[in-house]
Amino acid sequence: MEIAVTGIGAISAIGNDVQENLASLLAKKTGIGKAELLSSKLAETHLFGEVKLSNNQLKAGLNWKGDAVSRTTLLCAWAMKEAIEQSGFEMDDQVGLVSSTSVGGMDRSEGFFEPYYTEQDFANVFVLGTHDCGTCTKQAAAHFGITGYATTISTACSSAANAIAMGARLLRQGKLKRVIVGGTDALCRFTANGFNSLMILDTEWCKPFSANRAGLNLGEAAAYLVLESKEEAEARGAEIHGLVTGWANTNDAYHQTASSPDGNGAFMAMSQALEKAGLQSTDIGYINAHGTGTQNNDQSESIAIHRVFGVQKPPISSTKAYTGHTLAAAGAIEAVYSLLALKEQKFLPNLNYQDPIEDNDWKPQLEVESGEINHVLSNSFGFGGNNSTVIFSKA
Amino acid sequence: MYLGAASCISYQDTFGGENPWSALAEANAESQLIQPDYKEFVSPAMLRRMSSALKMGVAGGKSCLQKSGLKTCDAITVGTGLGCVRDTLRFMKVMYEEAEIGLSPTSFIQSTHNSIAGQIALLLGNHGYNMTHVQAGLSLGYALSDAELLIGEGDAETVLVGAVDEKTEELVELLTKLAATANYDLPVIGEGGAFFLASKEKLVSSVAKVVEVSMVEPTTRDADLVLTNTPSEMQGGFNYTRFSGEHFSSPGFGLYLALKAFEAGVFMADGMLVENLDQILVHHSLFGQELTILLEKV
Repeated sequence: MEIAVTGIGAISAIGNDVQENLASLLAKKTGIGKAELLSSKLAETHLFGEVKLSNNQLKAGLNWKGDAVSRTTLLCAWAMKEAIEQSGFEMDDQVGLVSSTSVGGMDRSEGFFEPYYTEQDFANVFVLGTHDCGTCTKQAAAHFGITGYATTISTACSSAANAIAMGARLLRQGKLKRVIVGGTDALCRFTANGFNSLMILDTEWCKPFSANRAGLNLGEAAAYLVLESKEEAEARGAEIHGLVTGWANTNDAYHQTASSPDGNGAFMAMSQALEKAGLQSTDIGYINAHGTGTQNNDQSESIAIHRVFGVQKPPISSTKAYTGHTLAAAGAIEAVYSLLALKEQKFLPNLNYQDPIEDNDWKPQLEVESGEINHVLSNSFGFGGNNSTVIFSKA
Repeated sequence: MYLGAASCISYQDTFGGENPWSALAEANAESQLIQPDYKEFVSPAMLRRMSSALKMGVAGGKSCLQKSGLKTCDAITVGTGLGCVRDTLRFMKVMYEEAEIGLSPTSFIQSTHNSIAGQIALLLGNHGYNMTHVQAGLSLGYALSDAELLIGEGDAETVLVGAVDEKTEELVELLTKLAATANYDLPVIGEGGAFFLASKEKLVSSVAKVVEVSMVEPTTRDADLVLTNTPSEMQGGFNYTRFSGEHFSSPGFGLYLALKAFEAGVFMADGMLVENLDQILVHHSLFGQELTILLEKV
């Protein structure tokens, strides 16, 4: 069975829908800057890829009732709505949801935890009902009338790539007729401080794959894809944005947070995804890299890419300098960008690049450029040694 | 898909005990986990930093694989409702108390939901598929379903499947306050971890075949024994959460009891005796989310 993408939805720092995201990508316009909404001391010192809509604006756009909802869920529902409307299918009990998030409703529960930890004040304890990751998915599923299979993947920054792969497997095994897959994460104080404590946040714009890179910028986003069999999509005359042809999930088994120096997990993920797709490395027309801008990731990923592609590398870029690292949503937002690259037949640029990494025989794609792209390989790596790769192909 | 080798850490003597239901004690607020000697599974240096969720994960995962007789497995799928809640709360507390200055990353690193499955992979040196599902009381069900999909796709023949949730004093306090706002009658809160070796082919250690894993509807399936957390709705059901306490991974305890009953050919606990076990249903219902796992003797 071939897996078709018939709907895409995205909200990020560079746009509230797919078209706005595309326009920013082509205009080389970053969304990273001073955070206006994030409540954290780090908002004064660091840059973030913040979605420009407030929670009230998101709620109004979604016609969302009730106060017990996190920004993570609202972003999720916002992007799901676009993907569902675009795909244009009738909702039934054969539709599933495989969502992903790293910290779920943390943004909302921080509204409780601050007064609780500073003044032992329990007044807002009700918001803890929106805290866990599963609740985000359950609320979003209920909002759209999804009554079937609905799960939440949380494998840190590789989450959404794993959601896409799981969706593809559910379809191939006939468990569902249609599945919405993707990821969501809202900025929150917990995550910002966590990454800051690891000393991997750049206080300036992140510089993926640049020798002088100094860390990542955090961002928030949600993106979802509607997947169904190509046969089903063609039968109902749905527009096909691309096919999901390859996927793999491996574990680096090297360190809880750091990537191995030889990029073993990433190498295996890319190799196995190519094998699943039945492709050679030379078939890949563009790589949307994980490329967070940390010393460790970009070094390890560069080595892994070289091990897979040798000297014949296609254009490579990281789009993290547009959106920031959107954690569990990254694999989904970059899936949308990969599908846009396929559709537009354009390589997407890597912003803020200055100097080559010493051992790299390549530099990232720096300008928007047209070229033949039949297959895009997208990497998403995370804490816990999680390495995932997804391959998208022209329909 | 077959199940056999299993490890379970709970309020009962499940980890070392051969016949865990012979001496079940009702769980209460003071119940303590009966824990293995974790030093058999993890170095003391690592152990010192580990929360109970991580300890249960690595000991449960490693010992389950040992019991299966396999040297390695093709994939690891873990379900958890709240993940590493102790480290999450610890990092958050310091973050507010220290006003976001000079924080140590250790508890943040260990707070991620996938650190349980990640630590197992690290300790086993396992480079295979590694997945974490976080869907409240359905988490184990989705981890099992994921294993079924992997096996069905031909991507794995053996999958280590687990479910882990930990309890802290602070979590209980927060849940108590939260329940009060919703007039919800809070059950005895428990914790625990259970791991299972799922395989495509029947292994020497296999004791049951998975007939169905459903996270969608309340089941109407019949079975010789129903292990459930809602006895009032299921005639003849055995309420396992009275002994594990209620938590998002409590169905792992139920599934462990089911496999042990198949192994023994009889279920005898708390005045209940069931022989001729061909099918056992493990059921869990929480906040309207229904998990059913139907097993058949092999």
